[in-house]
Amino acid sequence: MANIECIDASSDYCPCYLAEVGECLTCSLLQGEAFCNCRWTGTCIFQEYAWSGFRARSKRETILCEVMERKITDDLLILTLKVPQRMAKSLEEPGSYIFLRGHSSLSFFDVPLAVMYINQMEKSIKLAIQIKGPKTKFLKNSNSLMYLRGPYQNGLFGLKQIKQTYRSGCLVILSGVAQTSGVSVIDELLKNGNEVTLVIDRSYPFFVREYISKDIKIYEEDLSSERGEKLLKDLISDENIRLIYTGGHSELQRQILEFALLYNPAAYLAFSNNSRLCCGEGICGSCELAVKGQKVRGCKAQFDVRGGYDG
Amino acid sequence: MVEIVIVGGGWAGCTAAITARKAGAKVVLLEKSDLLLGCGLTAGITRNNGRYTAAEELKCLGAEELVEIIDSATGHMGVNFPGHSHASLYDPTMVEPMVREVLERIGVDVRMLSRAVDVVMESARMIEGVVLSDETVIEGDVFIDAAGSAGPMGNCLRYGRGCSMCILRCPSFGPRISISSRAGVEDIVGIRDDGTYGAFSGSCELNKESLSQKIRDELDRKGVVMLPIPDKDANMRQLEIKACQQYALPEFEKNIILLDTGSHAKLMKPFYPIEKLRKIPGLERAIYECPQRSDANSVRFLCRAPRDNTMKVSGLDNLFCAGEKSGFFVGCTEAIATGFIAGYNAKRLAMGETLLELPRYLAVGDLIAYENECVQSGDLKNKYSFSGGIYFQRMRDLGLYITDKEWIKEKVKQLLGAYV
Ligand SMILES: Cc1cc2nc3c(=O)[nH]c(=O)nc-3n(C[C@H](O)[C@H](O)[C@H](O)COP(=O)(O)OP(=O)(O)OC[C@H]3O[C@@H](n4cnc5c(N)ncnc54)[C@H](O)[C@@H]3O)c2cc1C
Ligand code: FES
Repeated sequence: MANIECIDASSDYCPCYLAEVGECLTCSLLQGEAFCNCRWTGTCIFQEYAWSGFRARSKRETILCEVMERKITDDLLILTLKVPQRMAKSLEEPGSYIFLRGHSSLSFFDVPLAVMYINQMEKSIKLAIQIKGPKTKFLKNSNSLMYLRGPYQNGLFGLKQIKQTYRSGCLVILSGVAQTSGVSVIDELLKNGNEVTLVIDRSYPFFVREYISKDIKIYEEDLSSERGEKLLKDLISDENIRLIYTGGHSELQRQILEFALLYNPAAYLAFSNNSRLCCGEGICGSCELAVKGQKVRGCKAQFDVRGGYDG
Repeated sequence: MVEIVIVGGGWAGCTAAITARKAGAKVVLLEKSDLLLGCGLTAGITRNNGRYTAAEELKCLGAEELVEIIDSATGHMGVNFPGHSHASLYDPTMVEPMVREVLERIGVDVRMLSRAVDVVMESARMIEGVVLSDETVIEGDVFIDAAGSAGPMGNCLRYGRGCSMCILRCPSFGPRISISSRAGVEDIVGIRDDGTYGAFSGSCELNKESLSQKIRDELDRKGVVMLPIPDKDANMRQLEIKACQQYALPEFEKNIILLDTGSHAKLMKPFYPIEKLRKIPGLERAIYECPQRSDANSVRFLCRAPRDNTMKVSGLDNLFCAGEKSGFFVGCTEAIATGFIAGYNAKRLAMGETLLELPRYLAVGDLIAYENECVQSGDLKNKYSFSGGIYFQRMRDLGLYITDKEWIKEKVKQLLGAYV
């Protein structure tokens, strides 16, 4: 069986609603079994459940936020929101995301958005939204107050791998609007003394440029071209590369996985989470994935993407 | 060289490691916490009743290292207390570093802070490796599950009175897991008289300095102190929940029995709320050292592996078990006995040799076989210890209880002679 860890295990939001119905990802007792039998090496989830009165612990909040700035170019909307300090703090980890909707919209208008940039002094966060379907169009049309639900953390698969990589070569490959997820990944990697090389897919404007450290090597290339493919192969084959993060569409991720398994099987991989996130709480099921045949909720599960998965 | 991987560095795992190593195997011992001896760190009573016989048998059989270490840390010899004769009271905290030294000296690869979380299977009946919590895989030829039966927290919570933060410290080092059940073999679960699962550990450790001078002096002199419990607190229905049936006697209900195990004073109750304890003269300032919660203790015996009398786990070709994992056995001598056979046979299996069963005219052989018989016939309630309960009665009935060292030596010599 695949080793699935829950992103929220032992966090402020654990145990969650899933524990109440015997669907915890981690704890055998909270899966309806009679005895302890978990892989989790952290504080006991059943113990936390008992202490919270056999109910889900604290729930995420929905807060009304003021839009400080709104910039739109073509189909890309960049919003700066004022948020409470504790919210800003809890969105620092790579993979953090929130749900956002206009203040007169109902909850099913919620759009999941990766946090692109946080200004802790100003207590603000920046989000980038590609205007595509009904939900994002409503968001574009809404006024200066918005509902934000969060914090959520499972915006990428391979958080542990990213955090475990120290003083090594790292490759970050970004494409499309998923670029947003790369900013905090690069920050985290640099913080741990890694040397980062960034590859940007030319097929979309490089809008995160201003949030990225100037000291890293950057390649800009059309990744669907032959030259792009060759560049990826060459960079991935470099044996100094210990971690490869791909923030981009699933086709690109599949290609990177293939190259990595062929040319650099020892390197850790991490991918942006491209699942259709809807509730973020493991309830609705819209994010379901199959990891080695095992069905998991994409909004909760962390696993080693080198084993592949089906979205 | 064949590689034997042992999960769990309690008495059972340490003994298995020493035995397999002495037989020439390459041995890796995995322990999740930062100390060896597991529950044994809160033990301290040995050689009481039939444990005397078993300890001598083990010494003669070739498991002398650990028995001798225990003897050397003994502070009181020949102590008698209700239902128990000629006990030795030793200091387990002194013993831990000595066990570590032996393991290092003979070349066992001891890996602390190494928590097993899963197994990788080579086939349905063969384990290929043990997965650690950092996802490294430790491969081996033969494996021994000696992870004990205590906890983890969820079990203590559901079948006990909460996690007591016992000596195994699951919150810090992660919970125990059952290697045999990860490998696909279902555990056998022990029950109490009232049908609930598991059993409480039978003693707690008090800080000696926190006892009155009078009690400390008496402990120093005699090794044991008995303090009557006020009538209204006397019936806390604790006896039936205890794992240690050798202490299920009325004297233990009506009295606080303290034993001097060197660093600690051992209180012979599964738990005793500190409020009540401090009402007893001399204990006004008493403080617990372990567990850290005075109204609970760890829950054990929820995960016995099915096995044969060579200690091989049934249904798997290369997994052995030892200690509490291998039977409803209570005690360090019992863990050493089962660990000895498991370590010995693990090496023999790896070499393609036939596995050994100890003959039943030795107490250690009979304990292993008798417990198996009882469990196979459906008894999930009894616990088995050389020191009391149904098994010590059996030792006496069958004449297996012997305190004459020379006679024991002679018996074992005959056995070894038969094998040469
Ligand atoms: C409070 C108390 C008092 C006792 N007093 C006495 C006494 O006075 N005399 C006596 O003879 N007996 C006593 N006993 C009983 C005796 O201590 C036990 O029966 C014996 O120590 C069991 O040994 P074991 O090796 O089978 O298991 P354990 O001692 O439980 O050892 C198991 C080891 O495995 C480790 N482990 C568990 N899971 C994993 C994992 N996943 N990966 C790696 N390592 C793991 C644990 O940390 C532990 O070190 C007492 C027990 C308790 C709890
Ligand atoms: S987003 Fe609803 S279950 Fe995952």
